Amino acid sequence: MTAVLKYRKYELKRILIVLLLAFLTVVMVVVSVFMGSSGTGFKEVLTGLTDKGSSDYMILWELRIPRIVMAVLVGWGLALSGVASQISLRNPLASPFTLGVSSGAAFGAVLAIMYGASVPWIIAACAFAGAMLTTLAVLAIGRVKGASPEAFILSGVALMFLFSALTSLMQYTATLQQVQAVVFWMFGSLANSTWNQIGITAAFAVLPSVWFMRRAWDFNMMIESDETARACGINTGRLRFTAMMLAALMCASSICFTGVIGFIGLVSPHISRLLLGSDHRFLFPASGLVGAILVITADTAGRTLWNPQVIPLGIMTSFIGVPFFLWLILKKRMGGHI
Amino acid sequence: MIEVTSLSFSYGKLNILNNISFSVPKGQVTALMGPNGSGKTTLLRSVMNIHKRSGGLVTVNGRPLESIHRDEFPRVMAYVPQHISNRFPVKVFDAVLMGRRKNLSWHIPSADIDAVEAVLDRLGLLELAMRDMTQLSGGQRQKVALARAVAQDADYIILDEPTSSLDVRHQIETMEIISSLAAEGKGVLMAIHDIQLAANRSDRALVLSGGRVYASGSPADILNEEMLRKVYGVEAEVTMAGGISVGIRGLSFNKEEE
Repeated sequence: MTAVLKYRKYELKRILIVLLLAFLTVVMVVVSVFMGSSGTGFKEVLTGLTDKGSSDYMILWELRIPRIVMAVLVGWGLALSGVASQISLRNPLASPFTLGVSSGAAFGAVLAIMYGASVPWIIAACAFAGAMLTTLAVLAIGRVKGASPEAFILSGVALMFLFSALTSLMQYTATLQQVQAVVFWMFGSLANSTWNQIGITAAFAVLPSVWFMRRAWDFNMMIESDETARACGINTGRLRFTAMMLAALMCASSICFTGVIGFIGLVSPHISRLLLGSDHRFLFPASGLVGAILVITADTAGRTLWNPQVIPLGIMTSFIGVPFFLWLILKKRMGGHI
Repeated sequence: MIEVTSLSFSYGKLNILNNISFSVPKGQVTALMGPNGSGKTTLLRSVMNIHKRSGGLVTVNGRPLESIHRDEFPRVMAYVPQHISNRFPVKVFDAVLMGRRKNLSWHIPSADIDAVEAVLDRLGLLELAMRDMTQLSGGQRQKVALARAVAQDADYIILDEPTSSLDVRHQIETMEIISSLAAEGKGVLMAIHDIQLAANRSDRALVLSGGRVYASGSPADILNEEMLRKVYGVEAEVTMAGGISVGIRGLSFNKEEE
C-alpha cells in the first residue's frame, strides 16, 4: 500500500472515531430526554415533546431539555478549554482551573451572595467577572515573567490559593444561609438552566471552538517544544496567550451559570488522546464530544439514580471522573501515556 | 549565505556571547565547536532568532533576519534541537509531516505525504513511521528531528549536537546525510562535541571559547594541539595522515597553573 493510502486510512479511522462519539452524544441526549425524576413514561414524553397542551410539555421544554442542552455545551466547553490549556502549557495536568478560573469564579459568586444578591443573573455575572479577572491577572504576571508554561502555571497556582483563601475567609464570616447558598453554588448544578443562559454559553463557545480548530496544526507544532514551533514560524507566545484567554472565556461562560464542575476539562482530553492520539484536528472535536457525553451521563445519573434526591453535578462528575483518571494513571504505569 | 556580524547576547547583565562574526555558505558544512558552556547552543538559537540577540547583525541571503516574515522563515531555515521530548503522544510520521507546516491545513496534500515517506526512507526511519515518539530512544528521536528538518526543505539547516545520542554507526550515518544535504546545496551549521567528526566531516570550523570566537577556518588549519590545550584544557596529539586524527592523552593540568 502506498504511503498516501496508508495515511488516508489512518485519517479515516480517526474521523470515524469522532463520528462515533457524535453518534453516542446524540444517543445520550435522546436517552436522557426520556429519563427523569417526574415519572413521565415513554409515551408521555413522546406526546409531551410536541403537544403544547400537555403538562409534560413545560417540564420537557423548560426544565429537562434546557438542562440537557446546557450539559452538552458545558461538557464541550470545559473539554475544549482543557485541551487548549494542556497543549498551551504543555502539561497533562493543566486545565483552565490551573489558570485560576474556578477559584476566581467562586470568589465572584461568593462576593455576590455575601452582598445579598439572590438573582442568579447577578451571581453568574460576578462569577464570570471573577473568573476572567483572575485569568487576566495570571496571564499578565505570566507574560511579564517571559510567557513560558512554567510562568503561567506558577502564577495560576499562586492566585488560586489566594482566591481560595479569600473565599474561605468570606465564608468564615458569613451567615448560615449565605454559607448554604455558597456551598450549593460550588456543588455545580444544571437544574436552573434557561434558554437565555444557553444562548450566552453557546455564543461564547462558538468563536473559540472555530479558532481552536483552525489553528489545529499550530497546536500540533507546540507538542514538542517552543523552539521547534518557533523555528517553523509559529509565534508561540501569542498562540499560548490567545489560546489560554479563549479557554478561560469558554470555561468561565460555562461555570458562571452552573457552578464549579471539576474533572471534565482534565479527563476528556486524556480519554480522547487514548482513543485517537494528539493530532489536534481530531483531538478538539473528540474531546468536546467526550466532555458532552460525560456531563450528560453524570447529570442524568445524578437526577435519576437516587430519585427523588438529586446528586449535584459537581459531585457526580467527580464520581465518574476520578475512577477514570486513576485508571489512566495506572495505564501510564503499564507503559501507556496520558 | 548566512552572515553573522559582531553578534552579542546577554542574559540580563551576564554576557554570554561577545562580538561573534562568521558566515555559513550554502553547499558547505560549518562545524561549531567549543567546550561546555562556551555558548554554542545560545549562538545557534540567536542565529535562528529563537533568542533575541542583544547586538550585531545576522543576514540570510543578504537580507536581515528580522525582515524575513514568520511564514517565510521555515523555507529559509530549519532547526534540529539537541533534545526532543514529548509530553503527548505523536506518531513519527506526523512529527516529520510538521516540517511541511506551510502546506498543511485540515486536508494534507498527497504530495506532502509522499515527500515525508521519501525522507523517512532516506533516513532509514520508514519502519518507525507509525510508532509513537514517546516510545523511541533519544537517538531515534534525534533522527526524527533531523528528518523533519530535511522534510522542511529549507535553504539552511541549523543542528544542535545532532550525534550526541547516537551510537558510532548512527553517528556516521547521520553525518553522511548531513554531508549529502550540503552536497545538494544546503548550508549546514552544526554544533558538535566530537572533535574527530567535526574535523573530518566539516568544510569549515568555528571554535568558541568563553563566548568569543577563538579560531575559525578550515578544520586542518585550526585543529591543533595548542587549540585543544587552550580551549579544552587537554593534551592531545593531532595527526593529519589519512584524515585528521585526534588522540587525547590527558588533562593539561600542572602544579604551576594551580
